[in-house]
Amino acid sequence: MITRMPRSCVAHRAALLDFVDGQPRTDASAAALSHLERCRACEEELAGIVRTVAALRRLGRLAAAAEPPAHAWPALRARVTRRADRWMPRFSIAGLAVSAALVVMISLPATISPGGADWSYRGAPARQEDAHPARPVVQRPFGRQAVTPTVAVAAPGPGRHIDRRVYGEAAWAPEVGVMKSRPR
Amino acid sequence: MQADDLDAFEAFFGRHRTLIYRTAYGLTGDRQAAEEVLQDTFARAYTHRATLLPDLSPVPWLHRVALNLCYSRLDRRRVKAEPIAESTAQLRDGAIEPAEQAEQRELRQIVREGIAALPTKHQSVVVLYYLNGLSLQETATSLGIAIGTVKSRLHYALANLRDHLERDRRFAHDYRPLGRKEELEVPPA
Repeated sequence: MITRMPRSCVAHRAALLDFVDGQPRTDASAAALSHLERCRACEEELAGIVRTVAALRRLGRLAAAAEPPAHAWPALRARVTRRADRWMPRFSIAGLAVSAALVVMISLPATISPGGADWSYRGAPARQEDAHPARPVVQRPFGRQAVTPTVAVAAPGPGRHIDRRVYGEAAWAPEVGVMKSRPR
Repeated sequence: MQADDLDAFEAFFGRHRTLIYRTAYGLTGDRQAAEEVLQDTFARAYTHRATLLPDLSPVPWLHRVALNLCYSRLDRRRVKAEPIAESTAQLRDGAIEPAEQAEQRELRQIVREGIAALPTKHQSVVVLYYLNGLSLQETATSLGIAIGTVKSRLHYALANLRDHLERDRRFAHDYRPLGRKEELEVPPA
């Protein structure tokens, strides 16, 4: 069963708590004390609060005797400065890595192709067969007819480079500027 | 402080370190853990120094971080967080009996658990007012709230804490506050 606290008790609880906490007495606390003499519930409540406050104060006395150690600041200083310094070599390494990557990207085409990259577009193929030669059909005993895969390569343009050493000279058709097929 | 000024940070640390250390020590009961919480709290403050507003008190922020660190530490380690060195010192001095020592340690742990069960805004006022011994005005100033709000939160916190503690059989039956035995002891029937 839930019992509601009487309104008169509610009115005095705050003053009673002030009294427990050692706050200066006021008219409210005098009225609360006179209420306490008549009210058993408030008396029990107050006893519980007194025990709670005493337990807290005891814990507080334990804490009040504690002082932070003298080496706290040097340790903290070392920690925060170490944390700040730790980023410096990371930035250096990252910077070096980015610089190296840029150098490689810039110099790679000239290194692979001794004559330099051939950016000149030689025009569209004269015949359609030169650009897209017919795929040879492989006859199989049964099943679907397989088509030899070819690599469709667009004409080299800016940003696109065909490596002759990888694909071989035969794959390169300088007259039309396209790669016919990928060597196996 | 917002710039990388270590001298300003040292002054900031010197101003607030005792409060944070005592909070941590009160909640963990372990000097080493309290020192770690102190270091971690201010290391975070240094990391977030750019976001700390100069015209607002940093105490609520520091306090919140310290409380979270204390509770995460207590949850993680489930420490029966009483310093062995202090216990043995008290035993050596003959100031306290071993059984009573163990009982007090257990009761302190119950109180810490009770504080941990409070809502966060109530935790802050309880820790500052009761554990750190600040006045109502100082607590209000530190948290940037009105003094009436502090009193209101304290009242609710005490009521909650009292319920929590009274529900614990060890606290309700065994504990009697020092110096108030004559007031609180139930006369024999």
